[in-house]
Formats: sequence, C-alpha cells, structure tokens
Amino acid sequence: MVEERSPPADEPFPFVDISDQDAYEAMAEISGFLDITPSDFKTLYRHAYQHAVDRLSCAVKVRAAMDSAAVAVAVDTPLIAVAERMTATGAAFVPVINARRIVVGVIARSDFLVCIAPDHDHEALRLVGDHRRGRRGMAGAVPLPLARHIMHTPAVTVGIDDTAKEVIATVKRSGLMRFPVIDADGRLAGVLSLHDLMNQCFR
Amino acid sequence: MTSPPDPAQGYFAKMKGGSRPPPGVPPAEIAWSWLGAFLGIGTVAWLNDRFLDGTSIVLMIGSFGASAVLVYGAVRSPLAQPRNLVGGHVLSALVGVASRDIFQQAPWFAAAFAVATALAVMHVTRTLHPPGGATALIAVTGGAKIANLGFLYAVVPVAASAVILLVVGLLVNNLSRRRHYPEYWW
Repeated sequence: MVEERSPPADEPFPFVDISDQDAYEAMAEISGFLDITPSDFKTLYRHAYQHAVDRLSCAVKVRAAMDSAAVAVAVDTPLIAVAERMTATGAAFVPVINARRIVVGVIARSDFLVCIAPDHDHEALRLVGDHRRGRRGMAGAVPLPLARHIMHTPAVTVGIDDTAKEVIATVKRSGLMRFPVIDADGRLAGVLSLHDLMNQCFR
Repeated sequence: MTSPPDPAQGYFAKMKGGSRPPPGVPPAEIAWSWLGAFLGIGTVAWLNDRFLDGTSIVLMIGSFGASAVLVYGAVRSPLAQPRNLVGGHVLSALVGVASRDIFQQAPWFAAAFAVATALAVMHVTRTLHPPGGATALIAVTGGAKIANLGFLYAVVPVAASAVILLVVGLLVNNLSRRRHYPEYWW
C-alpha cells in the first residue's frame, strides 16, 4: 500500500476526495485487470490531485484575472467624488494612488460607514460637519473631506505576476478579499478580487 | 494523555490488510486472456517440439508460464510491458548463469543469490518482471541441459521465447476492441 497523503487544506481549489467505493467502481468500469488495489488507487488519486492543484495554482497568474480598467482615485479626491465614482462603477473598493500611480491606500465601501458612525471621532466626519456648517479653514476655503482622510494605509497589494497560490497566502494573512495589483515598479496595474481569481482558475 | 503506539502492535496490525481486492474482470476479458496464453505458450511449445526435440537446446522453460499470465492476463500492467518482459528475462538469465558459475560449490547460495540479485537488477533497470526471478532460479537449478548452455541460456531459450511471447501478445491482445498492447515500449 502506498503512502497516504492528507488532502490539501490551503489551496485555491476545493479538494474533492474519493472513497474506496469510488475507486473500486472506477476500476470496474475499466475493462481488463488492473494490478492495483482500490486503496492504492485512491491514494494515487490524492497525490495526482495535489500535483494538478500545484500546477494550476502556479499556472494562474494575477495578470490574467485582474481588472486592469478598475477605477482608482488620487489622495486628494473629495470623498463625495470617491463615493460617486464607486457608485457609478459598482466598485466595492478603490485603490488610492499618488501622482506617480503608487498605491498609498485603499477605500472600501465599509470605510464610509465608519465615517458616519454616531460616536466616531473621525477627521473626515468632522470635516463633513465643518463643510455643512460652512466653517472656513485658515485659507478661507471650506475644507472638504478627501480620500486620504479615510483610506486604509498602507494598502495590502498583490503583484501582477503573483500566482494564485501566492494570492491565497495573502488572503489568509490579511483576511482581505480584494487587492490593488501593482506592477514591478510598484505602480497600480489593476485590482483583483478573490472571486475573479477563482473564476480564472476554473475557467 | 495518550500512550505512544506499541511498535509490536503496529507491526502485527499491518498483517490485517484493510484494503479490498480489485474487481473481477468480465468474461470476454478472460476469454481473450485464455486465447493469448494458449497461442503464446502453444507457439513456443510447438517450435520447441518441432525443431529442437532431441537437440541440446530448449525453448520452453517454466518461467514463461508466468510471463504468459502477465502478458495476456494483465495487459495494462507495467510488469507485462515489452521492456519488462524481454529485459527482465534476459537480465535475470545473465544473473542466474553468473551466479551458478561463481557459486557452483554452494548451490543453495547460488540459487538465493541469483533470485535476489535478479530482483535488484530488474528494479535498478526498471525491467521488473516477476517471472524473471524464476528464469534466474532455473539457470541455477535447471539441471545439466540448462547448465550446458552457459550464457547462451540468456539468448535461447530466454530471449527467443520472450520475443515469441511478445509477438503473440502484439498480435492477439490488439484484436480486442477493449484491449491494446503495449502501453509503452521502452
């Protein structure tokens, strides 16, 4: 009997195990004598499955799954404009970039909720209040809440040439499901969601 | 706190097995196996009787019965592929003859050494063919007629009969729509 191998636990692909009975029935469907036991057949299947998962995990790259036309906002974009842009595009989150397109943060829909929480002493909320009340800043202009006031920073990013396996590791490490994608120079190249990655893997 | 498993218990537990046997084969498959074995062994036996009867050369040795089981009864098995059939027999024959010549003062040792070494050589060369063990053993214990052949034993009967079984295997095993042979040549 060959060495048992545990089903993989941290792969982007769900593990589909087979039983001894499955192996037995598969062997019965193949005409001719196969000199292997159903148990070894099952173990062989698990090893082969793991190899296939490894191959696919390394074959699918972020580049193929990302949305390169995704919207991004500059650090000084007014929050109103950020909200409008997210609403218009249906984006669940937007990367925040500086003048060199380096990703400096991210804004998710939930970040807007944080701003309006009743007892939240958030700078953006204060600015919204100031803006409504018409208070003027030192320069005399009404200060607008900007993207940089609520963005999460530093942003958790993935590389454009990262494999599905590497992205899964980032998901596990960060607990996030969506990421800005950066190129070799650290500039924004697109955005990637776990959903898009899975679609690409099972395409 | 659980106590560590008893090594002896684990050792004997392995003897219980635990897996289930593979499924049986359909009657048609058995019929094709029967036909192949009959024609393969029949060809070797007929050639032996027709042309070599009364000579110092033989074509038929017992290990080819086992080869027939594999070549015609387990067509898909790696053990039955041409590389294993011919390579396993020839290498084992050479090992057997050499063992008999080297250890002729201790036949029991020569027999054990021949089979064990043939097994190892077949593994190393990826030509494992169980009947090769019998071919090596026959080289040691096969009597005067086999001994007189010297290293010719590896050519006739061993290589020649293995090739005959192979040719019959190619002709018969590929007649069935559900069979093909070989899986690979080398």
